Amino acid sequence: MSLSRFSAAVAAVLLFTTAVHAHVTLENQQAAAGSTYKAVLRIGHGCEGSPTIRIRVRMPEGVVAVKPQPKPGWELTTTVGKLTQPYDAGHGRTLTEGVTEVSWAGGKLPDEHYDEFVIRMQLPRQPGTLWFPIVQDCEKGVHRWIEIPAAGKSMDDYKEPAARLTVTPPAP
Amino acid sequence: MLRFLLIVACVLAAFLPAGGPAWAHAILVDTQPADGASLSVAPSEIVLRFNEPVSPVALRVLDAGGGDRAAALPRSQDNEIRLALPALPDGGYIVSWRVVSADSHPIGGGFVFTIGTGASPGAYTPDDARREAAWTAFVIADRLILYIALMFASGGTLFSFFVLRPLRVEVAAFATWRRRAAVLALAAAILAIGLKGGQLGALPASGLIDPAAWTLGLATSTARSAAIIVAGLLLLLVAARAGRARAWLEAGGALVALAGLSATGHAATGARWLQALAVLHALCAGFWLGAFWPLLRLMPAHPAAMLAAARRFSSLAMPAVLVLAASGVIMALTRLGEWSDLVVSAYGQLLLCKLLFVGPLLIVAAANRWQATPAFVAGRHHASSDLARNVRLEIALGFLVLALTALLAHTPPPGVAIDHDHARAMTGHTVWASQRNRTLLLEVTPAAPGANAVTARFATEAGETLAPLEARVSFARPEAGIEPITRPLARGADGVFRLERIDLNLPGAWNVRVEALIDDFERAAFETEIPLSAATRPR
Repeated sequence: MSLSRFSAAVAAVLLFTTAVHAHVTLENQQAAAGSTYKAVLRIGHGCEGSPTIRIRVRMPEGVVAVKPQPKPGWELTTTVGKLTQPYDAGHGRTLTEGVTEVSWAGGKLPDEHYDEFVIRMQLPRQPGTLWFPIVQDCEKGVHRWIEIPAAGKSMDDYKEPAARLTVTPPAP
Repeated sequence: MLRFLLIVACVLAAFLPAGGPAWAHAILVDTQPADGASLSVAPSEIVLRFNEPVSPVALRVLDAGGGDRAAALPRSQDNEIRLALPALPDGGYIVSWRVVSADSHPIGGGFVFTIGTGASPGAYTPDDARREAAWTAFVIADRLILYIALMFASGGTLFSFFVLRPLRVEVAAFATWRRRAAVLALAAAILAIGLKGGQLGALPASGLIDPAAWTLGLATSTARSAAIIVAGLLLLLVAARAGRARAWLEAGGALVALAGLSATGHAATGARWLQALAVLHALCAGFWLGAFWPLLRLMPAHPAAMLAAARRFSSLAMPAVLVLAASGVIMALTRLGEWSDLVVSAYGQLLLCKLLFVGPLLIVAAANRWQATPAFVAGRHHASSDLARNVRLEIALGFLVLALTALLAHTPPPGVAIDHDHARAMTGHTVWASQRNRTLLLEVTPAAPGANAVTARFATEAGETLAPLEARVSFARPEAGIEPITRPLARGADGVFRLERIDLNLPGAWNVRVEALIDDFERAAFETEIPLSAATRPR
């Protein structure tokens, strides 16, 4: 790697980490296609001082075998819907329905505190970028982390971008 | 440059508090005067209050003529930016701001206020309507000249490339004709920009020498289209000196110029696949119609070449005409919501007229394909004069079809599959924009400088009404340095979103962006362009 490319990479990383840590993001933002992935959603603040009382996530297309982790003090519910592409669950079973939305409600996460919400899932076999739109309901106000950057734009161009996961080609 | 970036990033990282601010970007909290305020006395200053300290980049106060009234430099103190104002006369003003927040992220926006209670400066007068009608006539005439010149220039080039070149035939006279037509098309394309500006501003007859007309015109899609056409034609003209690659460059320029036609008009605001269809339509029309004249000229002068050319053209024209007809039908269907629109709306009536000439044109073409051309190739008696007569008929019909196409390009279509009665009754400017599989029907009334009302209807592509949770609209003029002026749209009981009033005092084409929260997890953004013309277009 040449010096200029190295500096560009470092600059990008620095700018990236300083600019986005106010957003809701995933702890691991890269995973291999087809792998089982543990999504850890990091909630760093409420809505302008108001505590968070509900977190809702919509699953991107192609994500299957979705299992959210229960959380003490929060009521966990899931919405089951039709999958865009049926998937082979093994043992000769083909599933056409699956979890499309996950919600943790009824808790109270003050603005000053930090918490994580966990969902395990199986990633699609094709590499690419997955966007997890997240709605953060607070006692007063709401943050919709649902903006998906248009072509040629980055997450930093948006006020409330969705959480991004880069799906890399499967390990050989 | 890259090392500089690295240093900037390090400095930024060092200065940001470790935990980071709760918000990455600054937010405008309020303004004085407030957005949409009607003041009886001119304000002495403008105040913008943010949630965190910011530094101003640009702050402009534009009057109805587009002139910047900001005489001093803005001062920033704590979370506020202040701008002292000179004594402002009565009228409407647009304030546009752009600031940099602590994280070095630039943000911008705009708001409006009016002073005094007098009539809106851009009020509609019958004189304006007459002037605009005159400009519209010139716009349409210029468009027709552009079509015809492009058929000769681009169509003729494609005929040479696809038909004559494989036969190793070259006719010097054709090259001269093409050059002249290209120069005419070039002039018509550029003139279209000024004419469009004159139409939007309803300027007096001397408008073409008024720079205002050209500034207004340059901000429209007409200018984008003209730029593409001019680029294609210049390539076509310059290619004549290019030696070996000449034929390929000429054909490339011809294709670019034809494709440029669909960068404006109804096609430019549709979905991607519709835009692609419009390009295809223009290319096939250019190839087919552009061949008539060279064929006619070839007949008496080069009988031997004509034999081979007629046979070759006949086989190439067939798929071109099929694509032309199919793309035309599909585009017409997307613009007409119901069959009754064919009869009821002006657009539908013009479309029927066009079909009235397209039909016979196709019949003559079919007669040529299966009768006149085989007879000519077989060398039958009278076949040559029959074919020549048919081609002359095709040229006449083609001219009428192009004239109606130019008229159609300046007639608003009856709208998408949403509430047709309403669409027909509307008096302002109506556009529809699409994003993925959703459409927005946006109405701005009266689409004149001054107070305007906005109505937005959302639907799926299948025509079912969509009821987003919330929606907002923003108006911007990037070329005039006006940042987006954003307003929420109120949702009515009928599922229609409305904004009672927004004061936009500058004539010309405004970029409009509508954002709708389709459901909890999805926001759709539609972008389109609305011309605010000094005279509203009575229907």
